[in-house]
Amino acid sequence: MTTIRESRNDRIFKAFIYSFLIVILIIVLYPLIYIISASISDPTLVSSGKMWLWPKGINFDGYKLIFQDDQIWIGYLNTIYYTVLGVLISLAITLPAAYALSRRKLVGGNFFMMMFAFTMFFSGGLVPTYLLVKNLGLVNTVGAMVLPNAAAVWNIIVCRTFFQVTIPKELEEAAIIDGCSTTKLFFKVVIPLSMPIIAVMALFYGVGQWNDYFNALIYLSDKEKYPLQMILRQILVLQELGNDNMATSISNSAAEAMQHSQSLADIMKYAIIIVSTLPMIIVYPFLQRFFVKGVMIGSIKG
Amino acid sequence: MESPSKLSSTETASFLTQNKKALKKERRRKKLKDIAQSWELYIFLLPAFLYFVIFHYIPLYGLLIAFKDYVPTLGVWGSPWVGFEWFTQFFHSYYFWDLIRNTIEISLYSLVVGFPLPIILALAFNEIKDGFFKRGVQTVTYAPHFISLVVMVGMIIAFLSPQTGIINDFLGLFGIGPIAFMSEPGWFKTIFVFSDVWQGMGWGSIIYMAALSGIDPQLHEAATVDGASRWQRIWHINIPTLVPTMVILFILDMGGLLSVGFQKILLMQNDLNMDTSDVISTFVYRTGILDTQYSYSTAVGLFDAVINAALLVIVNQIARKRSQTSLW
Amino acid sequence: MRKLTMLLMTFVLFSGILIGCSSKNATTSSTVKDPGKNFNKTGYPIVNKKITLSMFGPLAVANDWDEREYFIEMEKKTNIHFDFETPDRADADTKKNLLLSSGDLPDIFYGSSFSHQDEIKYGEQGVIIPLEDLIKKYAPNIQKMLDQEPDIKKAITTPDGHIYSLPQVDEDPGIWHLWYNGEWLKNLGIKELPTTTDGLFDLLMKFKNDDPNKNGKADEIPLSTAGMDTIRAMFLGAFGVSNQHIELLNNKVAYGAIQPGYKEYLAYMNKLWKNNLLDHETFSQTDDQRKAKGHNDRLGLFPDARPSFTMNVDYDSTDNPVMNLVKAPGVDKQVFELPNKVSSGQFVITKDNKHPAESIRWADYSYSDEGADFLHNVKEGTYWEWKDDSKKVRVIKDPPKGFDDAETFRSSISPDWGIPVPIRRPAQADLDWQWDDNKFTNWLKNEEKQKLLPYGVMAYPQVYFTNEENKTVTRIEQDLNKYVSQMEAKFITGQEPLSKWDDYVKTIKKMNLDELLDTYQKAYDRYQK
Repeated sequence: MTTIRESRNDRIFKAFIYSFLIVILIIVLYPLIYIISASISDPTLVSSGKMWLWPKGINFDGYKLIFQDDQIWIGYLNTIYYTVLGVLISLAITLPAAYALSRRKLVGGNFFMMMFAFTMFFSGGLVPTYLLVKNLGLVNTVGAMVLPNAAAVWNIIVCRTFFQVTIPKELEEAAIIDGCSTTKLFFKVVIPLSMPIIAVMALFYGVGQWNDYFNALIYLSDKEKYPLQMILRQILVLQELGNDNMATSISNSAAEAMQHSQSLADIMKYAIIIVSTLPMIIVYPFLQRFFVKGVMIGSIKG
Repeated sequence: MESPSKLSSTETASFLTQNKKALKKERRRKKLKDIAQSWELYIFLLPAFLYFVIFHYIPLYGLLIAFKDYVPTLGVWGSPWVGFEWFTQFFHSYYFWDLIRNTIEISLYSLVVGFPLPIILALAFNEIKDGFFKRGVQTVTYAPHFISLVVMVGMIIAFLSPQTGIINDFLGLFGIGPIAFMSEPGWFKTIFVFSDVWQGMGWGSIIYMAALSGIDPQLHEAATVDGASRWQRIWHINIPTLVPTMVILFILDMGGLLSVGFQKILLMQNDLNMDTSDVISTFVYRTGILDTQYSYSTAVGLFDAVINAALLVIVNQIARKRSQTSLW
Repeated sequence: MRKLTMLLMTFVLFSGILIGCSSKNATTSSTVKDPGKNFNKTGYPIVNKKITLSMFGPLAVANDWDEREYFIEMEKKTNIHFDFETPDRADADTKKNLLLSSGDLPDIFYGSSFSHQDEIKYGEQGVIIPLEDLIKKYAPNIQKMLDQEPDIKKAITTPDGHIYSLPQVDEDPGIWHLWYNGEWLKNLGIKELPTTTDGLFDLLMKFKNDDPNKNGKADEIPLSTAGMDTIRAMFLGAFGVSNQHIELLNNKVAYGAIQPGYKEYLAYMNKLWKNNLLDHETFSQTDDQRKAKGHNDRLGLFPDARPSFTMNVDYDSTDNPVMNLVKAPGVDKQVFELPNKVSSGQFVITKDNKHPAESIRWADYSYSDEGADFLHNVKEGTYWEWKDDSKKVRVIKDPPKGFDDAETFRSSISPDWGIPVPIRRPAQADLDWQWDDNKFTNWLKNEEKQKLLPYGVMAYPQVYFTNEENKTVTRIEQDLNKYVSQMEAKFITGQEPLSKWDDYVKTIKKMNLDELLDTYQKAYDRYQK
């Protein structure tokens, strides 16, 4: 491919694409640098707008405060555990279902699709779901962290679309003629051909699990089981309680308490973003490997 | 064309019905055969089926409280019925039409701006060689997805501040402003949508990147040999590959037309931009979580869901007719 | 599976009804169960053999409750051990409502701010139990408080005569203030603070034009706030209106936002806005952005709990005077709504609690002066110590390693930090001891006495609505409150001209204002009886 000489138009086109990406890069990079700089700057300078690109009043108090808490490490481990386990369960549910739904000969596929899609809009709400999880005996167990959100309709649909496009009917028919069962076909051919979408699904489910604190809040009462996001929220308790609560008749000691946690929150809020998302950002380039073109050929021909 | 014209009309009819019957029979037989043949596929579906039944269908009885005056200790079943009282209350609410209008406007605006960008981004990524630059840009555009909303909104307010914000400093160079972005109702939707796009375009492009990586490189080689330019190859090979994904995502987006996430709006809202910023979900939040009127907020949520589901069905119907891709 | 759930649901339902009945019986004093031999009616420990109860509460700082010295010491004293469940306070309400509505109850809800409506709702249903008989029998300190102060009793008794929760009582409640920048006043040579709205306007103009921060730049913002809520009272009061929503005029319920004085207030604030005296970021900035402006010495008049939170001055600095209540021309007397000293809903016992008598005795301690002191400051030697043997003056100790200041350290030993707690906090003046370095508090009390308290008026009390009344109130206020605060912002910034005032009043009336006022009036009349 590279041996073929590129035409003039192609080169202009390429230049256009590069400049487009560079513009995007700058637009996105600026706020990111801002966050990194803010995480090691004096919070007063940040909120007064004096720090606008490079850090000012450099200090690492935010990071110090976060890592002072031993719970952080327990939280990290818990989160990794929940994420890995959760992703495996999610994939085990999503991939076979999406594959089955992608086959046109599946009678009743539309019924199942509608049945799944229905749950995107209608849900029974918090209390019935809580009672269910409680009756299943999952409260305060790892099950409550990985099961209630184990599959997402959205992901199943996206995955199904991918299978429809990339796994042609002919391939399937050929396999059956060869005496290969559907299950074998799925594991030996479909899965290897679908690494890109599996990577995407792992990423989507993984990030969802990584960022989740709501399930932990609702179902976990044992602090030793808290995931990272829950711990970070506890460190940051007051960040969301801003002005409304400050209004008028509030006791002075409560106001002082708020002031105190408010300034702690100011110091930490940018550092927390970095501490909690860095692993997810580092993992991305590894997953990107699966998006490389040409996976297809090797497995079909080989 | 000729042979049917020779038959009488009744004969034609009987021939056709016979034919239809035969076809039907044939189809049914084929169906049964298919079911028998694809039993493994049903096993594939089983875990997902069980999951949705247990975790989504069993708790559904909770929706009943939209038609009841929910009292926690009486439970969902024991609370008294009130019929459509909550719905009527919502429809007669002073702000009902404002809420509907704002919700739809924000959704459509997001769709128009936010839908194409991830596609363009994915196509652009696909055109450049693997390497440091590509990986770098990809990782950078993907990173904003992880910024928490509280910080995100804090940054928006800081950047847009008329006194100290960098945007107004920049505009000042051209003699514009300062503009009080956050307190002008006219700016709210633009700020909301573009900050969303900024945060989500890299993340959104991932799905398209995966679809693009499924393209057989031989296609491109063949096209190049035939003298196709890069642009032509994008147009005739890459974009058609993305169409099914685009259609599906579009259908799903339309199904979310009446639901705009409340958290970010809530954080960006103030008394001055309320006219354009208040949406159904923020209303539900205020009634449900702040005032703990569970029944009322469930009713409003249900109204929302019914409209969304109807929209999804309609758009899906259109998609099925116009293109080959649809949800069902 | 579904059948199983149904079965369980019915079970939950029935148990709810049954308990509901039994608790109604329990309200007649004769049926308060005898706590048994393990229980001591007076003296300590409360129980001879250790018992364990579960307690729910919001967490305001990261330290767990079971590590806090207060609970450890209380356990030693009373022999009652607690298993805690403490979600952080931003999430506590969600979790509280979930536990209550799913029937998964702890024995005690501590510092969880049950609203009046929660009390009535869950009280009627028997989820939480009435306390009045328990108080009579086992809680002498609480009983004494109720006897001494009938207003407190009124504020925590539901219409059907039950007390479902214990309150936080501040005998000397804190007042929210606006502060003048003392440095600026000095630089401008101002000796007397303005007493009229016109005088205030002139002063703010000087703040803006005369470069009081002496940096040669016109970067001063005379008055800054994040939202009107934190400054409204001080300006609205100047025009004789005490509350934007429900206020009491001559013992009658009235609506603040349609009073003529309110219109004058809007006109005045609009004048400040037009002259750039009121920060143009008032409605869009966050509170830390406002604080940052203060730290850069750009603010002349601002709201905060203490001036040092906004300005670069000492924590105890008394150089920045409290804003006094100014008076508008033509107004008889400016008014100031006195803060409420009772915050109900801070200690609630649920139906699952097998030791209600023990629980109420445990809580009763913090309604004595000694117990309140112990809850806030814990025991001598940890956070504080006596200055000398006379035991009249206390000194706050240096915090141990790892704590920035003494207050942070105190937050790790007492739950009384950042959340309301069941306590009766005596006024410092009524105690026989003082803090060693008390300059700021004494000064502040004096400022309040001169500048605000003379104009104090009663706020609409914390009445209990019936379920029906409550429905009416939430239905109407939902739209009304939004409309009023939105229009306030528009009138002040001039987005809406004041010539539209009549339309505004008409719209408010259309939103069923009369029905709302009726409801409030009825509840108030009942309260008065």
